[in-house]
Amino acid sequence: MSNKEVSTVYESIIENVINEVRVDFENNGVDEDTLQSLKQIWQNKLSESKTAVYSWDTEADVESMNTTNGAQRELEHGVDANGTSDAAVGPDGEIVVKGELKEGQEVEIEINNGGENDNDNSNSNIGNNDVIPKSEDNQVLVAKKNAEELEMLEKLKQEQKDAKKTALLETDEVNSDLDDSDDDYLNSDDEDQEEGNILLCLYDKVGKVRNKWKWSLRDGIATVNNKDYTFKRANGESEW
Amino acid sequence: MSTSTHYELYRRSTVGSALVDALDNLISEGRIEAGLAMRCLEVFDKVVSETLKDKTASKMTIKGHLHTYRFCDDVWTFIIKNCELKLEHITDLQSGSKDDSQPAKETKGKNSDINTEIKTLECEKLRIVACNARKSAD
Repeated sequence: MSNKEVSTVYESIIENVINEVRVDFENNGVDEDTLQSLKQIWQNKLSESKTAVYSWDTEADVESMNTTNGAQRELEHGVDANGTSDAAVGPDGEIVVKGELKEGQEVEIEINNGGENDNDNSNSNIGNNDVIPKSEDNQVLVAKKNAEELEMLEKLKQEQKDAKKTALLETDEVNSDLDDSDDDYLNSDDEDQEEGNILLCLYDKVGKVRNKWKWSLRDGIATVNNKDYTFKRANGESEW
Repeated sequence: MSTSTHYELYRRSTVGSALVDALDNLISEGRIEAGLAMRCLEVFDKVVSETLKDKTASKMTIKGHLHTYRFCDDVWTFIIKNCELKLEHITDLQSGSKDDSQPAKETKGKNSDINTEIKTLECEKLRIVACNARKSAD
């Protein structure tokens, strides 16, 4: 059993951080749904750590989280395709958002199909033009047609390749950003998690007489034997 | 930024590393920028400091053998072997101090309605990382 205080302290930390960060999300053009999924992933990670029991643990949040995540991911695609942001849509309007986004995806697909249809039409037009004179050999005609189709295919292939290239570049950029920003504290994090028991706090006084040490500490979070504890004040005595 | 005056040490706590992981997820999915994630962590630094100051009431006593001590950049690190922790959880039945901004310690001793729950923990090794309390108050 962990300290009863921990869950209330953590819950209030999460609430306050999410509320204070909302303005920054808005300023960065990131919608409310992303903020909410940050909160839910955060809560889930805490639950996974099993260092304390939280109020949201009982609510079978895992399932709802998965579905909302899915919806939000789709929503992002929808936003990309439409080129407009649905930031105003609240968490309650998820189904509506989903619908809109599907429309967006369909629109995109239709555009692609339209492009291919145009190509086909031009092909057939050329074919018709060639057919009308009839004086030329059928073989030449077929050869021309084949050549044109090959060209079209190659063009399409190149377009696909270009699309793939840009996608790769984008993901590379994302990863490099990630590496730069997160390395410092992630590395230190790993070290300490291997250590296991850790107590993070502030010190008011640290004193020693010979090999006897005394500390007065405060505002602490401790993880001991995989359970979390918080305290307002702590006193310590230890011999070196 | 104004929030940079708060210590970053609580990012290593369970609640902090869970936030780091969550932000990580969103960045790798391309849903937020790294700059926004850093901003979230700065807000977290501030909120944790304030919350621990205002919403905790428990007292802890630490005993054990001091294996290693280190003082670097105003940060103390202690590694304690065969550590015994005693935790006094104070439940204020009137629960006035938690909602108000008054410090919780004021109610202790005055009132017989306060429940105290004592818990003892033992562990082989405990690492304490402590930053100077005076700087964070400024």
